[in-house]
Amino acid sequence: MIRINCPYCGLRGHDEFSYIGDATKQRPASPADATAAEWHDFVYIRDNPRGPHQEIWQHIQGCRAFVRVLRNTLTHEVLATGLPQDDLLAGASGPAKTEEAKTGEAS
Amino acid sequence: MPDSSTEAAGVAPLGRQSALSGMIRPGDHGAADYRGPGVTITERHPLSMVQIEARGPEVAVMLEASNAVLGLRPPQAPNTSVGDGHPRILWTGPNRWLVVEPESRDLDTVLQDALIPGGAAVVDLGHGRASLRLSGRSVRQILMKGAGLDWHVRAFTPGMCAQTTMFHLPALIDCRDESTFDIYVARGFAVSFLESVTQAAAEYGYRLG
Amino acid sequence: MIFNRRFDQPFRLAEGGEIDRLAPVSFRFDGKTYQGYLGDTLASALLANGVRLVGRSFKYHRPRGIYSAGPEEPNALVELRTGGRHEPNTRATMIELFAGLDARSQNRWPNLLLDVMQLNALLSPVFVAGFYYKTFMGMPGWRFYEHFIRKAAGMGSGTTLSDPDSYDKMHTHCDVLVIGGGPAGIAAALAAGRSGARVMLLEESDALGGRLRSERRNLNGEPAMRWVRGAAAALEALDTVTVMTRTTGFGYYDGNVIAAVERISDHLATPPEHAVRQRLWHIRAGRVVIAAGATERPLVFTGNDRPGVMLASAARTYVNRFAVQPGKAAVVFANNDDCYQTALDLHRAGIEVQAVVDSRPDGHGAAKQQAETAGIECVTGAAVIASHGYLGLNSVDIAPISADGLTVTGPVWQLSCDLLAISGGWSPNVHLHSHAGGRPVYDPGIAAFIPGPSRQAERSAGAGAGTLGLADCLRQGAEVGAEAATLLGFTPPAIEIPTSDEPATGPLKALWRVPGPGKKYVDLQDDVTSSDVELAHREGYISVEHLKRYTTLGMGTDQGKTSNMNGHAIMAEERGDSIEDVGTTMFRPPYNPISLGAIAGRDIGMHFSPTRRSAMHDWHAENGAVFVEAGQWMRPQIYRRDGESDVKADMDRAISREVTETRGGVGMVDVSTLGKIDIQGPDSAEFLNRLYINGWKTLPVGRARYGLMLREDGIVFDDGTTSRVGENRYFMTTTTANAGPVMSHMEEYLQVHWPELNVKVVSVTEQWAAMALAGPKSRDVLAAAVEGLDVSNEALPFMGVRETRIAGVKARVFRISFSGELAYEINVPADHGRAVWERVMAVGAEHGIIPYGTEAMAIMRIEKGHVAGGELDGRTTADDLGLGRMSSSKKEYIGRRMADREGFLDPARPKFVGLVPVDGKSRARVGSVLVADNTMQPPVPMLGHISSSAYLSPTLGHPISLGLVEGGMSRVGETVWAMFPLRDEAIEVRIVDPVFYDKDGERLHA
Repeated sequence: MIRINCPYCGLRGHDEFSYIGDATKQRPASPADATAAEWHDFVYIRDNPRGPHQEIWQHIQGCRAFVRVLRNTLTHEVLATGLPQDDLLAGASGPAKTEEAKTGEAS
Repeated sequence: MPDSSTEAAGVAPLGRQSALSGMIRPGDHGAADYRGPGVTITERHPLSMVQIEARGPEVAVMLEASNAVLGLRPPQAPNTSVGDGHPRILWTGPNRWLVVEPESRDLDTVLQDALIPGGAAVVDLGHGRASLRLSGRSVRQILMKGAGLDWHVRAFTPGMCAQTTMFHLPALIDCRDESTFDIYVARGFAVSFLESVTQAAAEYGYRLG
Repeated sequence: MIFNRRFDQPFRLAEGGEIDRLAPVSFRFDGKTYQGYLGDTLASALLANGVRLVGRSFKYHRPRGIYSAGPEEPNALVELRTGGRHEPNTRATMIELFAGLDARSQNRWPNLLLDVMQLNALLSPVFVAGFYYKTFMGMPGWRFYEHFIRKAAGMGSGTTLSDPDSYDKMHTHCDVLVIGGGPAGIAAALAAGRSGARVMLLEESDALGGRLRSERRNLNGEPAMRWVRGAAAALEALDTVTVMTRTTGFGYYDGNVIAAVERISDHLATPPEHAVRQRLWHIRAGRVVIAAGATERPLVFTGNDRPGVMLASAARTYVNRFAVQPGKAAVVFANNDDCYQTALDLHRAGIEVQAVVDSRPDGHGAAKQQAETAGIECVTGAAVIASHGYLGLNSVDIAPISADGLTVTGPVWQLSCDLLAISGGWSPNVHLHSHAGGRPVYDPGIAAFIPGPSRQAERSAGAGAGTLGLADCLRQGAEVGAEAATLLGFTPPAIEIPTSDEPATGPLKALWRVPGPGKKYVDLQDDVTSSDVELAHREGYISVEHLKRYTTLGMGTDQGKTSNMNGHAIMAEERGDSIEDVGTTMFRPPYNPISLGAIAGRDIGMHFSPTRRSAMHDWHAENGAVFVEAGQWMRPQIYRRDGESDVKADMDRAISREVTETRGGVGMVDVSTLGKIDIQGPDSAEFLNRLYINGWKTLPVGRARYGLMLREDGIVFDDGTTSRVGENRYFMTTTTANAGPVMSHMEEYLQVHWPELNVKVVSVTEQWAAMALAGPKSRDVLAAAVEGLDVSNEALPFMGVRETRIAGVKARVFRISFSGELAYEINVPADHGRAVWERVMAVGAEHGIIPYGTEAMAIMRIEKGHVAGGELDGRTTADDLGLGRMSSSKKEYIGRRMADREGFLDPARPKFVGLVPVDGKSRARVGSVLVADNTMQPPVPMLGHISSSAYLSPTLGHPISLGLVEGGMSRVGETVWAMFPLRDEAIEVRIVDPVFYDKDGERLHA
């Protein structure tokens, strides 16, 4: 079982989460101005990297927060987690923390 | 929304019917142990349950207003709960809490009046969830059977609460004391949940009451 | 109790062993009654009674006996228990004896002694690897042969009865998990446990000790089991340590999650009342110490499968732990020092040891000297090259062999014996390490694979790490246990390591194949011989993974525990490569066979998945409802009346009645399952505007609006009505099926894409019981039910929303309609659902109100041409469904920019229509393909399909369907064919308007 560190709830089994999608895709900020190619890229084009990949998961059976997850697709290892807007690649080795977040197994 | 029925005089309000009405056979069931039943299962009903939620700068305002109206400040730390039950406030998500108490007043209206001016959202969920209290020496074994969190006495202590799946359905679990837990599930799942809990408790013996 | 009688256990030693001689136990094997003692396994009890032949082999039906004393047993598989508790392929070596045990041998007919299928053995030259593929594949009549082939080659048979016992699951967490309760595991648990870490120690057998239970060893100058009992007591005294016996850690998964099965009641005839038979554990561990021990390998020589041939470690186990003589006259054959200890133990147990045959040119060490001192003949540089005997061993052939082990170098001599104890060295049980992603590496020192670098938080210790000496096992166990605790932040104190009296041993010399002609079994369970491996090599199956699949080497219940190393080494010899390069197959969970009952746990029958009930569930049940599952919800499908059964005609009658009486009068349906979402916050209207294709900024308080949502790709996602119930508060409904997905969709946009919007959403599906009151008389019923609310058409117009009271309860009334009739939805807090439902039924009685179910509801919506699940199938656009005109061009909404792609604007796209059978009676099935005519030959261009069907519209008097067809409404009046090739159905249907009923909405607005 993959275990994911929810920024609020700590380490939980992946069965509490729902996979949402590729976190590297940004919804066009100004929908009317985005080109057809940009929409096509946002909706359809997905890399299938071997190794670390940023994903969005929802802690759907827990606090319902959306979580950004840096996961190694080869080993299933979760390398870092944070809130959707966090940058996990900026030197993050451990889970990102929010002000009131606490990590750990306890809860 | 126009409410044309504020004057509903002359009609006695009906009592609330629990999702588990008729399902609880009081008495001792399952294995007999010289120490008595391993767990006692009681339904908590009727409860008032109101969710409060705020965003950004509204949060501080809401916490203050909650403290003023309830005499209790919602806990900041995720997955914690406070209060003796009159009311009990449980963290259920970022900037979101559930206020619970035995039904004695219109808690929804009390909180709407107090919190909505500050921008908070107040939603009555009192009928949407059923609650069981499990207590006794085997209570943590039953939690271990149903849910994957760490239920060790050292790990899950009074004042902690968590949302997870228990017996494959979403549950909010609140540790009241070392051997007492309040569990909330969606009303529609109440019967299924009770059946799973009693099956799991049979080997320790359980008392329904 | 009679315990002074001498039981007829001719092979039982007079004293010793871990058995309880005061507790004799009677049991049955193949219908005959025997006696053993509490503490026996079925295998030891059979041997005590001189039962040596216990099964027939998988393919050649060769007689087979007990080969091991542990989980690696390839031969002694039996059918255990009877009736619903019957269990095939159970290892006799793992069954703890209990009173009344009933076991039967397998794979023989008519009986074990006279098995007609042993003719297969005479034909064995043709039954080589790949025989069935080569002979039967592609040949006509495979289906005919298959039955007989499968019957001839096989294992035990299962039962069709349901298991009366209950199985269970548990989750737990610990800091340090130690798997294996032998010396290394005990030392690890002690070292970690004394640091204060939460430690779990799993032991597969009924007690701690591992090999110490089976060996005559001293620790600190006392019998080793005394130290084990002391250590067990010390662990017991630590309240952070949990020791679980009869528990096998069988799988190591991602996230340091270990699965284990606890056999709570397997050692009893039946579980006590309310007790569980087996429990599956999911253990989340900080670190894992794998102390899973090692498995002794057989030697591969001609006739090495005969009953009486046994692993040397097993022979020691039987004499030392069970006080059983596995034979009366023994030969011991090995390529390592184990042979001398075995010979001494057998000799001490009164077994006549004819010779020790050591394949190494020189014997080694103190053990050999001890054996010689005891008068045992020790032969070095020789091998057992064949065995003899019909149903059991009676003699062996011995010959000198060359130093490289490849040739016989001298004359053969024969020795009589009924026991041949063999040892080819020990293979560490690297399975769990391998499950955890580790790649075992070859250690030439012990001629076996040992754990490689760890990929998860685990480390092996003891024999499982390739550390075979007792003192080293204890030291390494303590070291790895302490390391695990330290890595988790604990400070383990040093623990005392007991001193061992084990003599130093010399190195083994690998001997993968003993020279000589004839069948040498590599994998006894699957009847794979060394020549099968050689054949696989000749035919090009040289990878170990191909070898496994071609020859079945390493398959079956034992998964190659005794065979993989030998088979892979033989392949390496054939290839001329190193064993390291040839490698080993990947181990996958489970390590040992696990019962399906344990995997299923309690998730069976009605608890396969939780069920969800509305507040009115019991009323429905009391009033004849037949329930149907809608996701997890239980919904009334129809209501039966007195005398009606569930035959189709009665069902059809009930459905028609419910439609007709609702359309002609008034009916009520439970719609509590619809998703309901409370939306609050100053940006709520803006949020709805972005979610739905239509506009929301002008909706006044007290009004509802129908809305349609798209996905980002422009395909329709969901529909429903949303009402404005306050200045900044809305109440959304979704379809039952999409309640969860829509909620998550909204949360995603608020949290991920538009965090600037101040909107709070929460599911209130369960808070409100909902009922739809429909039919021309619904207003009269509503008027009688509500308190102080004007429900006239003027005061409560179509799409109006009001708050009121019914039966004194706060209620919301929505004038919306799914059926096409004048209709209202009433929502009340769920605990009042049944009371309000009953009140409405009571006041409606004089208007002839009836309850209706999901069938009538579905028919009425098809008659009205409303889209639902069949049309919202993840492929349709708003335009396809005739709803394109709803979309607002004045705003941005999810899916807008992808909805106007060229392909979606193609006029040839199938569009929403109604369909009626030309003959007025044929029922076109959902999923039927629409084509131009029924005589075309493939490939036939597809014009569309049928998405929903009412097999009979009671209102129209004939079947009706909805579907999508190229050209859509421009083809009204044309006929096409609805084809359903799987059922050979072809029905001519006419394209019509999808609104079959009340096209102008007069009833709705009445």
